[in-house]
Amino acid sequence: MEALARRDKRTLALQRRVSFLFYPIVAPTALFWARVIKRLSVRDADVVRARFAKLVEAEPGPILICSNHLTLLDTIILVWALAPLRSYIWHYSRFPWSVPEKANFSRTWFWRVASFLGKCVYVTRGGPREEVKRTLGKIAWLLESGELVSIFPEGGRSRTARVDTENFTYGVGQILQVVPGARVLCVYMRGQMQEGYTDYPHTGDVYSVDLKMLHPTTTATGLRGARDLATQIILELAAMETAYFDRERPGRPAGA
Amino acid sequence: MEHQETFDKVIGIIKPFVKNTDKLAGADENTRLLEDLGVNSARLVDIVLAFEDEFDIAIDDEAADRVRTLGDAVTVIREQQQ
Repeated sequence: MEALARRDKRTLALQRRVSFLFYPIVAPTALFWARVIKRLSVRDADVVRARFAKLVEAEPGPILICSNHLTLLDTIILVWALAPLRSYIWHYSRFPWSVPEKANFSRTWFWRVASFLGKCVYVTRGGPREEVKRTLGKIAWLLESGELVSIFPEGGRSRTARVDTENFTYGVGQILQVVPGARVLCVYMRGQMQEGYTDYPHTGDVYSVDLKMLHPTTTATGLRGARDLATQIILELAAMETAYFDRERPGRPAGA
Repeated sequence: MEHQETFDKVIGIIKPFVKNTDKLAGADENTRLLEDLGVNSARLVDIVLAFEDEFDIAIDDEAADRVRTLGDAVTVIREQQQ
């Protein structure tokens, strides 16, 4: 993996600084939307947040957050669920960078600004190899700099509303290949009202959030290695989903 | 291995990944995997790995990127066999 260009490093560092400066405006706005407008809540939020802090602090090194994906605003819910928003002021590295699809999140000025302030690095799915390499380089640099990065390893919102173990992409595997030794924090989150995949969460929904730290490894290299690593993460998320349905909705097995 | 034989094997390998199965019947070298046959872009990696297993070759990332049509697939496989 080639070193990230100095210009890209400077741009990311600037983005982090500007994002931090605007955080006191952006975070309360997001919280207002989630808690007041959408009346969302996270069940046992204190327990989830304590567990997140414990897992992150358990050992040093890069951490990639991998979550299931059902709504367009999962990232906001994820950030809110993992820690009190005020705590990110003291631990801004824990406010995770996101890697949204450029085509979806750069259409308007609003989304471009929101993406910049929300610590987003655009990715173009199926884009030219050089561009993919550059994006991988940015993610690797962020992880190695101690920043948390969050991605949706399925590569998009699941059309079946269940973790898609058949049609997931292998991008997460490529990231782990360029940051060997990175830990993966698997996050399974789901609102009680969430039956199918939707653009936005249901108003008044209550989210359950489950966390598990994974250390994916493989002896395979290249595309085969990326597939192997990605598969381990997807299967872990699928197992967490099965546990969720067993616990929260007995008699409604995952995939039904 | 003859060109046509390689082409037929390629068809057999990609068959499980094809959504537009009707198009596969009349497929030729110019048939595009994603646009014409409806192969999910995420599954291109699986197809390339299946080529490696079937033909006992190694396909690097750059070569894999060139696989857009059935003809491209045959060309890449035959290049690696030489």
